[in-house]
Amino acid sequence: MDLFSNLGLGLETAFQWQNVLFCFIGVALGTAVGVLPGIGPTATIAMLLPITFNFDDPTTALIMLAGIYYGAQYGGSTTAILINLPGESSSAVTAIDGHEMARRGRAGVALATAALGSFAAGTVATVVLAVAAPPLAQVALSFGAAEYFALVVLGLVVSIALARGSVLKALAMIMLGILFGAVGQDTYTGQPRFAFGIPELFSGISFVALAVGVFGIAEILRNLRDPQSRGGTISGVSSLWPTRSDFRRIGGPVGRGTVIGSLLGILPGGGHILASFASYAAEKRLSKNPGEFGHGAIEGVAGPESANNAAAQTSFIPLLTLGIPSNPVMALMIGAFIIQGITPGPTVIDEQPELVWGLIVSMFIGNALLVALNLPLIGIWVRMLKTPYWILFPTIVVLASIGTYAVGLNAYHVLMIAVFGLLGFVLIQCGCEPAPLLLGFVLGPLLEDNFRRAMLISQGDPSTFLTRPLSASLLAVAAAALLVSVLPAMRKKRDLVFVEDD
Amino acid sequence: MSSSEHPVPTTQEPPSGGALRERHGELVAGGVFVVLGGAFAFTSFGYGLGSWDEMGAGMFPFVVGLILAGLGVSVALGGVRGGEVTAGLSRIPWRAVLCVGGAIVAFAYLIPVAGLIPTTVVTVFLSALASPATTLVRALLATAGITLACYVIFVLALQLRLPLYWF
Repeated sequence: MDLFSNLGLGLETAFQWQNVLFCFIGVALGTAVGVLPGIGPTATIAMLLPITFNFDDPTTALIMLAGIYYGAQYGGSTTAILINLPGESSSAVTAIDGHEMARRGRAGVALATAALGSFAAGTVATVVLAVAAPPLAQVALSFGAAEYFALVVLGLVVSIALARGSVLKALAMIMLGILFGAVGQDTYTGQPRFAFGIPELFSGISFVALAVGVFGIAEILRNLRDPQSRGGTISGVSSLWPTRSDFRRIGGPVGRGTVIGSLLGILPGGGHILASFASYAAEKRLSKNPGEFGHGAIEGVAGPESANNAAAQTSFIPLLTLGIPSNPVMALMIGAFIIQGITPGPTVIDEQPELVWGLIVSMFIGNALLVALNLPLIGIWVRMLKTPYWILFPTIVVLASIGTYAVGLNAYHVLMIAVFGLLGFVLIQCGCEPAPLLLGFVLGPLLEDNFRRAMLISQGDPSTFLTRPLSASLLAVAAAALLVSVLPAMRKKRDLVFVEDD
Repeated sequence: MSSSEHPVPTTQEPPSGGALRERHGELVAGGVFVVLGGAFAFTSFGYGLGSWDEMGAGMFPFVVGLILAGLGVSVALGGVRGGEVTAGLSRIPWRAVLCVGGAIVAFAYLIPVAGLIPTTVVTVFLSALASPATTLVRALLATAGITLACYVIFVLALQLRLPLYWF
């Protein structure tokens, strides 16, 4: 069978001792840098990327990169759980209940749940990836601009249906995100937009600056305003290990999270963040006591973390087959691929099978190494909670500044942290959610690009979106999802999905 | 642990101000959306809208900007009729905003000219002053410790190629 010979080739490549060794080094480095507060996975990978440029063998380089990727992701979840500082949009969901668990002295349990859930989900998703990548590559090839546009619209609408609070404000935040995403050179005409003659803005707004600003800095300002809302309630660490009943509770969420994540991860763009949100919403709806969510429900950590990791795995499918990065981290990975002389696209799987399958299997190894490395270290990470705030927040501010600057050596990106921090703080105070803004920002360029291309192909006839069956059905699902979230009766139910966590 | 560090809790505004105060968050959010949406749409107009089959650089942001402004109006109107009760602009921690914002702005302007070490010192010290509970001694201690840690992490361990000083 094809699958087995493919996996066999992958195992053979990935288990060469130097590949295992560099995968381990990658995981260790990624975790070590990723747990620094204020440095999210994007900044971590950007800073560690140059290390992999020195390898002669592109397979080893990419396998190490996969290790760094997993380490950075897990490090990001650690800071989200311990100090409520999600380094990227997907761990924003983990932070909701994970941080509540930490406040109740169950930080170790939350971290162990995240690691074990991620491992289980990652293992399953690796198989999904191996089985589904070749056929999906074929399906993806038949996708035209209209289908992509419809897919992105669906992704954006689903994020509203699942976020808490007012639908109008969530929609507005998405639009604002799309506009911020439009800053920089126009891909069609080359004309710089909203740059006001500042050359540093031609390359657009930095995702890291936007994320650190609206999540990190806004959170610091809130903590400084209400010192008693933080810390005061963090009790001592009572246990590091999940109990037997904890294990029983996380089984279902991990399984469902894996399915949700594997499916959504294939969506180009936003699959990651959608996966965690969707899993959280599903667990909350299925739970016997939904009131516990937002107050340290272990299901709220297990589900989204599994979904996130499964999505991380399957999001390699659009990357490897279409060359479409589904998030900024993947965009960095594409950069690394190109530096190694590989252009991701539909042909790479046929032309360099040992690279693709080696990478897929090494993801599994990376996950296993991650658990082996991090379970013993949980006790150390948990000590981060004991850092007094007067040391912690200046550390976050300076690490975030250095991290953002290091990604592009662009001082304007650092200035943007301050701008977005303040804007984010004000909007959050007014009851707006930062997550849709981030999603709009990431997906906006994809939306515009495919909209313009589809209209160009149809010679200005917008009915192209409705006459192509696949695009029409995707848009119909999106319209239905929007309707559901606007209908007042359903809105009441939707509000239950997310309770106020502050 | 934290309660001893923050002996002076910031004054809590009572959640129930006047009827207008409770909902002025909706007006602020709506206003921000209208202003930003309008500004983006207005600027886009200058980039050329083009036609539907060959859109200019301005068309897409122009349309999105108008939608955002429209949503902003609805949010604000919803606030007038009674929307969510939020803090809005009523509880801005000015000291924190100035210190943290100033620290980041200082970093952006210093890092290209002053080098990593002086920039880190200034940024950490300024942001440490953001908390009313931080004494001068603690601010200095934090500055020394965090700067040393940054040096070890970024220069020794990660080999980040940034000039350390201005000379």
